Amino acid sequence: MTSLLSLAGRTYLVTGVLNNESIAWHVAAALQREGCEVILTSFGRVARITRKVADLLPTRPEVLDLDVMSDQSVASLAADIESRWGRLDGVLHSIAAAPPDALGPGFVGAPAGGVLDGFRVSSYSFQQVTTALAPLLRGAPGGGAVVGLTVDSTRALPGYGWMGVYKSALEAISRYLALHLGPAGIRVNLVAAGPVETVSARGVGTFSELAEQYERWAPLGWDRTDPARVVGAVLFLLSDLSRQTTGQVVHADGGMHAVFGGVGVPPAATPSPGRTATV
Amino acid sequence: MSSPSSQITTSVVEERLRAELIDLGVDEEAITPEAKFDKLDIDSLDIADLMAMVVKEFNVEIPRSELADVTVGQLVERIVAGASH
Repeated sequence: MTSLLSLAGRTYLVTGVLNNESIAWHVAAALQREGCEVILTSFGRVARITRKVADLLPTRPEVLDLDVMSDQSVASLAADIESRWGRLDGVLHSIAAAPPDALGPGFVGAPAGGVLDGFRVSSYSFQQVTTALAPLLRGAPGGGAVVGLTVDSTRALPGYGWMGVYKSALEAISRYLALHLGPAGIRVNLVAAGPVETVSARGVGTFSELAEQYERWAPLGWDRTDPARVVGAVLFLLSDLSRQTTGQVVHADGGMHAVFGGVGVPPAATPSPGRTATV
Repeated sequence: MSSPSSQITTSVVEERLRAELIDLGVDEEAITPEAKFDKLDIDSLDIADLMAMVVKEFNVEIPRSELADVTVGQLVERIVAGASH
């Protein structure tokens, strides 16, 4: 049986696997199940954890070193992949970090040093990694596909502080990458995920309240403990099905971005048509 | 029929957890069965590291919410109980 995604035999670079709760881990697992080769990246203390949870994937992937604060590290990664794999079909960028004092109310007084480091890791690295790997993505038979992860950054999210700004910047960067790399056959898109309970999410003080809002008001419902809910949108953007799509943000959030929550009867309390029919 | 999990005893789990905590830089003296897990000198990355070890070696996933207020001894028992299922 041929899969509609037709990903078999492809090679994808997946960054940002911290542990097996990470959205990136679930994407890597799904890609392997589709018959792809997956290469992971990690860095420093996190690499120790990444290597452990890499063993929990269907096939144990290579874990390469990538420190996005270092130009040299990004260049080495590209050179390493070129010499060992020769080409890439796509990349998942799932990297973000901010100093705790730049999140939430810290937005107002956070010192420049930490704020700018956060920008480099969370926003600039998307441009840097994508352009470094562009020569390898250029020859991909289905077109090179780059996907980044964001949140709904169209409005200010309490608790996010500078991270909300970094995510807004990520959206602009994806549009400019789409503009400049489109002629090379490379498309660049983002998935805006609803709140998923990961190690990173624990850094957001308001996480529980935000997740509750989604779980209560998202038209399709939401479950913070289910990272697999974000995987489908990522796979679509990495697959040939999205060949005509670039510079786009696909929301995988149960529809929360589209509605005004908090007024009327929560969808979570409304019997779905399916359920009503069986009564 | 015996399964691999039948070898996962309290002392095996205790020993692995202790070794891993020491490896993460926790003071050996501080690791007692009565010690509150979240009061040990570890951060969220250390906890992620430990839980990755637990799922990899014992095939037990422990939700973060269950780690609040738990003692080291209770955590060991929780892992043993999870592994026997």
